[in-house]
Amino acid sequence: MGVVENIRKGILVTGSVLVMMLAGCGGSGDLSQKAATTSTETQSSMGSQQQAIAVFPKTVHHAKGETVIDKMPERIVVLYPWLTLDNLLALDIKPTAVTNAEGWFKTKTGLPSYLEERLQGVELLGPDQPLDVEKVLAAEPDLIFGIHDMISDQYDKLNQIAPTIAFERPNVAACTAHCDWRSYHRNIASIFGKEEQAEKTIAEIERQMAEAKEKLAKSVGKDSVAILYIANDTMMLISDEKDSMVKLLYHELGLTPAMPIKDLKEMNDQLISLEGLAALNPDRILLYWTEKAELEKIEKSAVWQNLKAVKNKHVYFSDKTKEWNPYQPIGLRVLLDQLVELFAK
Amino acid sequence: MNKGGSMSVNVEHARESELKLRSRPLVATMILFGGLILLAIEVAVSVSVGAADIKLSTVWEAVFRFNPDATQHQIIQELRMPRALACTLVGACFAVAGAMMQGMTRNPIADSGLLGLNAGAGFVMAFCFALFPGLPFPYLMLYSFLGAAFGAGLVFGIGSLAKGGLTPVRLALAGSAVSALLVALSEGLAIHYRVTQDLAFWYAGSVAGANWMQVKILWPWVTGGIIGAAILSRAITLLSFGEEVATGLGLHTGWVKAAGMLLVLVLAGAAVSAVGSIGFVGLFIPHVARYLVGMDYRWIIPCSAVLGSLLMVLADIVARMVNPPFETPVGAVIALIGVPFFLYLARKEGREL
Repeated sequence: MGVVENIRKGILVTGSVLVMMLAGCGGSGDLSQKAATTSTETQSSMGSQQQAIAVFPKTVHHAKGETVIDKMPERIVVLYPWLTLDNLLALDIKPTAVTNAEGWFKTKTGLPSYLEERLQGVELLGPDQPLDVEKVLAAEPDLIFGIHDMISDQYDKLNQIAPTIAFERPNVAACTAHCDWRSYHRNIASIFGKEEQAEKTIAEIERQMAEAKEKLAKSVGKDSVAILYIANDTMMLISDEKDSMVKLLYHELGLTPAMPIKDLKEMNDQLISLEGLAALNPDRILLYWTEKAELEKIEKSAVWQNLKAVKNKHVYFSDKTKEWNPYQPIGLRVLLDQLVELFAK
Repeated sequence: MNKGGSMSVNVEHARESELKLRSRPLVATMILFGGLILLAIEVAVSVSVGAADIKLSTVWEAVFRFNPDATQHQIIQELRMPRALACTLVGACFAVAGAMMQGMTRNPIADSGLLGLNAGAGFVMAFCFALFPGLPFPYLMLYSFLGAAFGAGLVFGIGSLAKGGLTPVRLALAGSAVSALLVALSEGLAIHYRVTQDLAFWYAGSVAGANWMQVKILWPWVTGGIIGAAILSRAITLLSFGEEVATGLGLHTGWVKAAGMLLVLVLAGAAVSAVGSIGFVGLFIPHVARYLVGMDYRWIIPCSAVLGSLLMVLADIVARMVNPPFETPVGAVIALIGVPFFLYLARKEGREL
C-alpha cells in the first residue's frame, strides 16, 4: 500500500502507467525474499531512478554532520535493533543486515518476536557493542543507520564503508531533535520521501492510542500506577520525565503516576527500597523488564504481599516487556495491545 | 603480653616498648566501648527512620511485640532491622579487610578495591547476571568469594612475577592494572548480554535490599573473619614494621600473609557479595583508627571494625533520608562524608601515612 504513495512522485514526473507498474514491482521486490530474478532487479533499479528524481539526492542532517544520499539505498545496515529498524520496516524498507541482542530478546534471532517474520533472510551481525566492523563491511551496505552514542567512536570507520547516519537517542537529556516517536518516524520517512506513508502510520497509531486510552480509563481509572523494574534484588521506580515509558503511560495514555515525575540526571536516581514503595503504596504496579525469577523472589516478602496493589491483584507482569518499544511504530502498536490486555486483567 | 616462644626476647622488648609509645590503649578502649554504645544508638535510629513514616511507639511495638498482620511492623522487622544489621556487618568487614591489607602490604592506600578484589567479584557477578539471571543470594555470595579470590590471585601473581618480588608499589600497580582489565571485561560481558543495568545496580552498592537471609548467612563469616583478624593482629603489627624486622623476630611471614589474605578474602568477599563494591570505607577507616589509637594493629583492627560499622550505618541513614522514597547510593554518601575528613587527615598526618 505504502509503495503506491512513493510511486506517486514518479508518476508526476513521467505520467506513464508502465513506469508505475515497474516501480511497483521494484518496490515490492525489496520486501519479498532475496530470490529475485535478474529482470526484476533491473526493473527495481529503473523504479528507483524514477523516484530519485523527486527525492534524491537527499541531504540528511544528523548528530555527526551531513550525509548526502544520491539514490534510493538498496542495502541498508542497521546497527541497533531498538531504534530505526522498526521505523524502516514500517516504511516497507527491509534492511540487508542488522545487529541483534540475544541476551535481551528471548528469541532465537535475538530480535523482537513481532519483527522476526518481516526480518526473515536479513543477515544478523551480532551485538552492537562491541561492533564487528568486518561483518558490517562484508554486508556491503550502501547506507548505514546507527545510534550516535553507540557508534560515535567508530563513525569515521563506518562512514568509509558506506554513508553513515548517526541518529540521536530520543529518550535522553542530550536529545535535541526528534525526541518524540512521531517526529522520530517522520524524520526517517523523510529520508526516503515516504512522508505520506509515515503520516498514515502515525494516524493509525494515534487512533489505536486513543482507543487504548479509553480502555485504560475504564479498567484503571484514576488509580495511581507505578512502573517498577526489579533486577538483582534492586528496585527502580521509573519516574524520569525523559523515559519513554513515562511519556507513554502518563502523558499519552493519561494514567496517574504514583510518584512525582521529575527530570532526573541519572537512571540510578530512580532506585527505591521496598519500604519506599510501601510508603508510596501505589494502586497498581506495572513490572517492566523484570524477570519472572525476580518477581518470585520479592513475592516471598510480607511487606510486598501487604502492598495495596498486590492485595488487590493489580500487579501486572508479562515476560514480553523486554520487547516493548514505545518509540517505534510497529513496537508501539504491539505494546499498546499487550498493555491494554494486561491492565484488563 | 603474649610472647612467641622462638622470638628473641630483647629485640621484642625493644619493639614492644616502641610500640607502647606509639599506641594509645586508653583511647582505643574508649573508642571500643564508646563506639559500641554509639553504634547501638545508631542502629536504633536506623530502625526508627525511613521512607515510611512510622511512629517511635510503633517501632518499639514492632521490635518487642511484633504483630505479623501490621504492615508497619513488617517494615521494621523485615526491612529496617536486617538493613541496619547488614550495614553494621558490612562496614566492619570493609574496614577490617582494609586495615589488614594496609598492615600486611605496608601500603597506606591498600584496600580491597585496590587489590583487585572488588573488580574480581564484579567480573564474576557480571558473568552470573549474564548467564544465570536470578541466581539466589547464597550462590551469588559464593561466586563473589571466588571472584574476589581470582582478582586478588591475579594481582599477587602478576605483582610477584617482577624481579625483586612483591613490593607495595608493585602491588598497587598490579592492582590497578588488573582491576582496570577486569572492570573492562565485566563491562564487555554486561554490554554483550544486556545486563548493564544489573551490573550498574551492583556497582552502585546498595543495602536497600538487605534481608534476614543475607544477615544470617553473613554474620558467622563476618564474626569468624574479625576474630581471625584479631588473632592475627599481633603478627600484622610486626609485618607492618617491614618484612625483615618481622622475619628477624621469628615470624613466619609467608604463613601470616597467607592466613591474612584468606581472612581479607572472606571479609571483603562477604561484604561485596551483600552490598556490591562500596569503596572508601576500607581505605579511610583504618587511617582514622591509626590516627586515633596509634600503630598497634591489636587496637587498630577492633577499632576499625567499630568505626567502619558506625560510618556505614550513618551513611545508610543519610542515603535513605536525602530524597525519600528514593534511595541515594550509599557509596556516594560515604564518599561525601569521608573525603573531606580524609583530606584533613592526609594533611595532618603528612608523611606518617
